[in-house]
Amino acid sequence: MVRFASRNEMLPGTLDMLILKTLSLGRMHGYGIAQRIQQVSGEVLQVEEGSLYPALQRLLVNGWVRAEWGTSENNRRARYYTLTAAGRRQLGAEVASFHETIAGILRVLETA
Amino acid sequence: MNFTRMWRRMRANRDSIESELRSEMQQHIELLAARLIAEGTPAEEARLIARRRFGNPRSLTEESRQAWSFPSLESFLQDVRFGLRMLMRSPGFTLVAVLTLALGIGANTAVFSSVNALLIRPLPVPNPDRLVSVYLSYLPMAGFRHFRERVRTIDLAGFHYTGLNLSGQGEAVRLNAAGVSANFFSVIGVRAAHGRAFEEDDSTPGREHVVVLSHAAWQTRFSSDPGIVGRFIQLDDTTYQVVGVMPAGFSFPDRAVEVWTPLKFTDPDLWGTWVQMMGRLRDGATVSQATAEMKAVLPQVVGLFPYPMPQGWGSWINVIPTQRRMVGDLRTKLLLMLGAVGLVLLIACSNVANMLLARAASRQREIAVRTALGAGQGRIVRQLITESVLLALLGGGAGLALAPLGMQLVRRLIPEDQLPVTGVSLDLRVLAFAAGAAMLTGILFGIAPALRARRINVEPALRASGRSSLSRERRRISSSLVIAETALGMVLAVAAGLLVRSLWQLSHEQTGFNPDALVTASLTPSVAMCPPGFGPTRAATASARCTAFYDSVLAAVRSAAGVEGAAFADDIPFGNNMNTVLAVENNPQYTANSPFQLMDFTVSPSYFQTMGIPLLAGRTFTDQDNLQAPGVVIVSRNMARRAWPGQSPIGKRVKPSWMKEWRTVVGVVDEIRTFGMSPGDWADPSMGFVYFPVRQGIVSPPAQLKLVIRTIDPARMVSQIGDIVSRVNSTVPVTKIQTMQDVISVFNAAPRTTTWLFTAFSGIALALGAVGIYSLISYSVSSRTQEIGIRMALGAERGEVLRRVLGEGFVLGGSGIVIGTVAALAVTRLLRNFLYGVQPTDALTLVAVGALLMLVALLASYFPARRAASIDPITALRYE
Repeated sequence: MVRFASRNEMLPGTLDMLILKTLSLGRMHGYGIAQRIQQVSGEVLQVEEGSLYPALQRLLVNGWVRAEWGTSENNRRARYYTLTAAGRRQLGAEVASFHETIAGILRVLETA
Repeated sequence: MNFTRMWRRMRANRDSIESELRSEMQQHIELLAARLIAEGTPAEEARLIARRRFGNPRSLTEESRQAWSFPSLESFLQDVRFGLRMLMRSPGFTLVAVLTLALGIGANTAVFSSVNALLIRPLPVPNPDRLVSVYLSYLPMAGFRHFRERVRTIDLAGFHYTGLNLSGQGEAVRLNAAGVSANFFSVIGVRAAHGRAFEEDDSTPGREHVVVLSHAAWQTRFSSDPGIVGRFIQLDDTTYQVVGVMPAGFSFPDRAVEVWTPLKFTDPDLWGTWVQMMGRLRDGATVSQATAEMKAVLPQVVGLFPYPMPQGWGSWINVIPTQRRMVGDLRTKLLLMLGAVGLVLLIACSNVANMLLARAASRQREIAVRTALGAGQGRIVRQLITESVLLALLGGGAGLALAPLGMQLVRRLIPEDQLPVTGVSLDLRVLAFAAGAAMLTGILFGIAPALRARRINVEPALRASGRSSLSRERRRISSSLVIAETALGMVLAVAAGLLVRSLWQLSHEQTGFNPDALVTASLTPSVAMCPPGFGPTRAATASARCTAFYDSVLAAVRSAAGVEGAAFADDIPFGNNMNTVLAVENNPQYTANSPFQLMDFTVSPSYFQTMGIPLLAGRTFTDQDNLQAPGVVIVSRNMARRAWPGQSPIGKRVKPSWMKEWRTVVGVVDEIRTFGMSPGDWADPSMGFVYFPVRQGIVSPPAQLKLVIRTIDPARMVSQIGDIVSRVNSTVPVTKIQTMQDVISVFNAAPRTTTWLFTAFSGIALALGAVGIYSLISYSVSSRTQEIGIRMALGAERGEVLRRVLGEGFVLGGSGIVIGTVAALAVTRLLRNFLYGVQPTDALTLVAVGALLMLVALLASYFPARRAASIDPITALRYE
């Protein structure tokens, strides 16, 4: 789940998309992904570790990301994730449908 | 689920995933802590915060792992493994339960295989559900033709059973034949395998000497001659051309039929040959429309008959699907049987349910522990149901192994000529039935214990010492199950008792003649030698040849060693006895239009003496009662009493209602019995019989006669008779050579098997019921050891303890018997058609079966009662 830092609201399904998007910039380990999302969102989004790892496993099973062991910045063994071609396609699809959802929500907000 | 995803899941190594994940998360925590420290948080606190952000690492791994697993399948397999382990841990319980279920499921599978073969599996013809039979009885061929011209809803075909002598290749043999209308095969919709079936012009005069063979006849009688089509063969001294061979397995309208010949629609057959009708519903027509149309057409057709038919003749006309017609009253019998084995299965179920309940009580602690460790209620119920379904499947497997044995027995229920065309076998549907029965029973007997387990109160269950107490509720469930078992067992036992009684009646019934030392055989001279009817319309020379043949056979038989008498008849008692209709002179009750309906026999003069049927008044027939002499008949006692109450019948006159000449009664003989378990099918025996002399036949006096021989050595005569006849004339086949005792016992074979099976079922039911009572009471005794000990310490007598426990058995058995009696009274009506000489509500049977059940119940509770009475109060109290 992604939590908005200010309020405890959840937007289901967005975490997978955000991870994929983050990974589209390059390979990264789990901690890095969480940090990155938090920074880029201007601290609005805070990734809970409790949902990050299950989400990563999900993406692995679906073949959207690949994982390999490497060395981290503090010289420790870390697991790095990269986006696969299928993951890139999935990201496109999710972003498209997300835009549709948001557009729909906005229309409701503007007319109602 | 997509395939690659499944593949990835299957390849995944659970353990390495888990360890990788753990080290990955450890790294994350460290990085997080490092950052917090960098931001100024004290090291100790930073690590704590980082760890807390992760929550419970175990549940996190669990959640991540779930992404890789098939959760439901995995927990199911786990349940199965655990279940198997539990079953293996108590082999005694498992064995008894599996055997109990195997009996129930095996018996059900066996009966269902026959139900499947006869009632469900469709006939091997195109659109079998459109094939119908007309239930009417035989009617003259001309009548059939009138029906065929008028009826729109059915494409009608006609047929009759007959026999033909195949000669010209060794000794003459008798073939079972069917005369069929030319459209017979096209109506059924089956083509020949070789050559052709009949075509419309095969019925035209001069072209009708063609024959179609069954596959079996082609193989056995013509050793699969590849050039059979087009070959000429001799049937009844007439040359026929074989035009076709039907496919293997096709035998219609009866399994026994070996050859088909076309019906000849010419005089004298037109009004003299009687046929049955079947057909195919035309498009859009329904069975009820067809019946309505047949009913409407019937009076028109009967009006065209050259002789008056009895009033109301044919009013019962009915159109029914051929498959049902072929199965006849087997349908009811099989369904009853299915009901009976269903009851056995229910009893087995409740027995196993009780065993499971008893076990569940001792597993309370285990279940409580599992609940305390976090197993959900649903999970526990699922676990228990899995265990019981597992048990049931084991039972089902064992039952399937038993089923072929049972099928052998059930198969004997089916008369030879009603065996299903396709055979009784374990096909997929039967297997599915067995599997379904197993699953269903598993759920059925597992549900009560499982639901009870759900309500286990964890804390007291955990606190309780190892011994479990028999809760009031569980006792109530168990008692109701045992009472239900006893009641069901009572129903089955009453049914079996009634059948046993009627079989006893049947086999001890006086036949009215002396069947010991009698041998019978069927002589079938060809139509050319013995044209049907010795009457004046037939060639006098043929008639003379026929008479001479039969006279020579009698003389030859009588001169054989040990023979005390010999005679001919058109049929023997317990054969295919035919009905006839008689008008009684000067009796307004029985006129040509409302005739007396009864069974008739056409017999030679020495028949009564040979059979041992006593002559009560007047005389028997003589050789002088021939076509030149005035017509005579002999009647039986009941017929005489009905037609001429209070008067001597000698000198009175009767006539078959369609004939002109009156015939004089010259003698009265005693009554005989000639029918079995289904009196409804046949003429009312209380109407009596009429006998015609063989040389003054009626409508179609038989060319083919049965020989009856009284001899001191029946076995020897059975082996001799073929040679004796063939020395007289080797072209006449001799078939159906049997002792009269065998004829009667074959006749009683089906009722015997029914009775036998019901007795076996109720035996199983009683045994299961006894086990149920025994286990409930011994369980209640052992869980009350302490209480009994206290009672005895307080001065209760051993005899009193014994009585109290026996009393429990008495109450259980008694309630079962009372409920069972009520149920039996409601249900045994269904048996009515299979009972002979005993009412479905027979009090003697009810009382006897009730007493038997009570005995079983008391016996089953006696052993635990004795154990209770021998409890040593000191040991019992110290036990705590």
